[in-house]
Amino acid sequence: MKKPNILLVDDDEVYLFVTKRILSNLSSDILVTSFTDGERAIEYINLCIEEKVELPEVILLDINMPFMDGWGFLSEFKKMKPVLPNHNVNIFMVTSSNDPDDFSKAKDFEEITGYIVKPVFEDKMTQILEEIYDGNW
Amino acid sequence: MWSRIIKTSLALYIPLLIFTLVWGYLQKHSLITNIAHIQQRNIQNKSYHLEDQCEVLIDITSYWSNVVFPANFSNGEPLDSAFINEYIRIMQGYEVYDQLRFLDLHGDEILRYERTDDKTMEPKDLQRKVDRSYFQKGLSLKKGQVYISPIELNKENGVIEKPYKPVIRGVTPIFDADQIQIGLAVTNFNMNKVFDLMKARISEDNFYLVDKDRNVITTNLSNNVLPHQASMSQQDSSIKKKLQLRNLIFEKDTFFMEKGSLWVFQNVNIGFGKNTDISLQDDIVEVITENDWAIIQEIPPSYISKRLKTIRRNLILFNILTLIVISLFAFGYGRTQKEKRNFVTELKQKNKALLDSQNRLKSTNRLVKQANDRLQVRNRQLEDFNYVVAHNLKAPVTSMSIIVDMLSKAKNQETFNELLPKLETISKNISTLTQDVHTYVSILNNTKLELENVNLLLLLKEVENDFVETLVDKEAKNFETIYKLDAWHTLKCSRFYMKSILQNFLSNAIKYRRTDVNSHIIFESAWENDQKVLFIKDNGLGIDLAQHGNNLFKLYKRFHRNISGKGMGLFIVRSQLEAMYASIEVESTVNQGTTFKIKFKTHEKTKHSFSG
Repeated sequence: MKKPNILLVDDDEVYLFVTKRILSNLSSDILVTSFTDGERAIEYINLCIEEKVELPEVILLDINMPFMDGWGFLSEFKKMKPVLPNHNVNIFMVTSSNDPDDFSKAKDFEEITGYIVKPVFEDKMTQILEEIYDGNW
Repeated sequence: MWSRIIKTSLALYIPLLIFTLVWGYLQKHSLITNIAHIQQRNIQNKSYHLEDQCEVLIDITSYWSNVVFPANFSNGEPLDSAFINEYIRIMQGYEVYDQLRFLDLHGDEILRYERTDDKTMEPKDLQRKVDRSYFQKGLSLKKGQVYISPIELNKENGVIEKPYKPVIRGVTPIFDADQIQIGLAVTNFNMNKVFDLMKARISEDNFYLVDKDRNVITTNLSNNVLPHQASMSQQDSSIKKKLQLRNLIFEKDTFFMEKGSLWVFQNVNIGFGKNTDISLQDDIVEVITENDWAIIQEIPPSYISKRLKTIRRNLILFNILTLIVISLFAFGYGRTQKEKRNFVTELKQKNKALLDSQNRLKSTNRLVKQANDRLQVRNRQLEDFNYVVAHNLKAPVTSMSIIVDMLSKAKNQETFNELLPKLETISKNISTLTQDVHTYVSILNNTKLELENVNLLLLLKEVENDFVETLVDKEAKNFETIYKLDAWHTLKCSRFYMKSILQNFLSNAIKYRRTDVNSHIIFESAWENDQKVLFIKDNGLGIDLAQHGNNLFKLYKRFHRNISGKGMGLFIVRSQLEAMYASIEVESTVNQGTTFKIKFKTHEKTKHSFSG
């Protein structure tokens, strides 16, 4: 049984701390990686491709970030798609924005599995994991 | 319109008026000529009448020059009474025949017959006539000669006879059997009857018989005969005066208009030429006379104007009709012209109105476009603000709600200790954020900017000096600020904003310079489509616009990882520029440099959009 592998991309340190805490509360077997901007996350994915390491199954992606925002990340990710080691990457937009523009923009990316508005409480996180891992986590 | 109608009417009417006046004048002239010819014929008849009388007088007088008188013809030796009685009996019937006298060579009458009434002539007392001019003239006559005296008032015994009797005398010498002159025969004709005939009018004409001195012998205007010989009444004087006509210098037969009257002048020809033919005797009768009469007939103005009335009436009628027709025509023409003009004027007005409304529409459109531009900017600013609220403000709040949730579920002190500092961080973040948002919103809300003429060069120097103090000597050596403000260097703007903007650009240029080259920033002013433009060029790190272009002017966006920054500078710069109705564009190449281009709106237009 493989451990769930989750990537957090968000510039909000408090969010990252809180989310990691929630995940660790849910299960001690979840692997969590985090970056504070899109550019760094892309660099990590590039590294994974080079090293032929499997990508995380779940990416919780913030929209509003410095250097490279969520949209920037998505367009870069789209370019890498053909060379990805595994294709079961589920990207969730996790943002405090309930701006309809953001929501409709998100719909244009078929890479996006879901759109989650912060705050992400424990139950919501459970729901996401259930959906992706079908109880196997 | 009326002046045009009148002008048209006159243009048509004046030639016709001239024509009718000429025509009228010709008509008048021909009428007057016609009247004058009639008068001339009338005068001719009167003249003949007078001539006839003279010829009869000549004949009757000359008869005695061939009669053989007794050698001692006197009272004592009279003529054969049967012969003279028979002669008088015949002559009694001839009313004009007034007197028959025989004078001896001393001027004493030998025999005197005088008319007493219409039918009778009787012998009368003898008189002495030695001092009378006809006697003197008679003495100088030769046999066969007859002297015709002027027409004079008859005198008896040296006194003018009353009532006045105008007479004309024929005088001829008489001889005895030995052809010795023994005296004179004098025949008097009473001219009253002759004059009555001559005075008869054919119209309203005034008749004057004048002698060579232009003395009136008789006229139908006065009952006086030969007034100059008896006594001149006032009327007679005025008549004489009236006859002093300018046109009568040469006494030739003529007619003319003077003093409003038509005057016809004709000399009376006593006709001595005919005399010989008419003479009953074989011997030629030679007539001696000083008479030189003329007849003047005057057609008074009243009669002429009466005769001219028809012509004048026709003339006036024709002119009135013409004038009416022309006026109607001109009125119609004027109306058409006016309508045409009105139509053109209306068309012009409509055109003008159309043009005006077009211009208004254009200016309205321009205003609408400006307002639209402003609205778009405003809209984008609102979106930006919305974005900040949706992302930057909500984020800490959501994090806080989770922490609070966790805290409420926390079972041990360790969790508290772990979580509380996080709340502190959030609170600090929120505080920073609210400050930044406040800065931003205050720019957005500041609609009453204090605009003043700012000298850009001075302002830049001021900003530069502030920075130089913060730069380390080494840095200052490698960084140069260049000004190219030839195009323009003063700008109507908010001094405070402009300073903040220039500070940001200078600060960024220093912060994001390439350390391996000599860095510079150029401030360059220029004109573009009558708009002031300011270029800010640096040779710094540059920004990848393909990646970051959309976010360049957004809040908390940063593009250079290793350089500290809040991500607020350009966001504030654009907000401040937009508050001054300026816009900003950017061009950049990584590792070469960045050029910002600021377009300032002209002040008038800025004002416009304020009011609009």
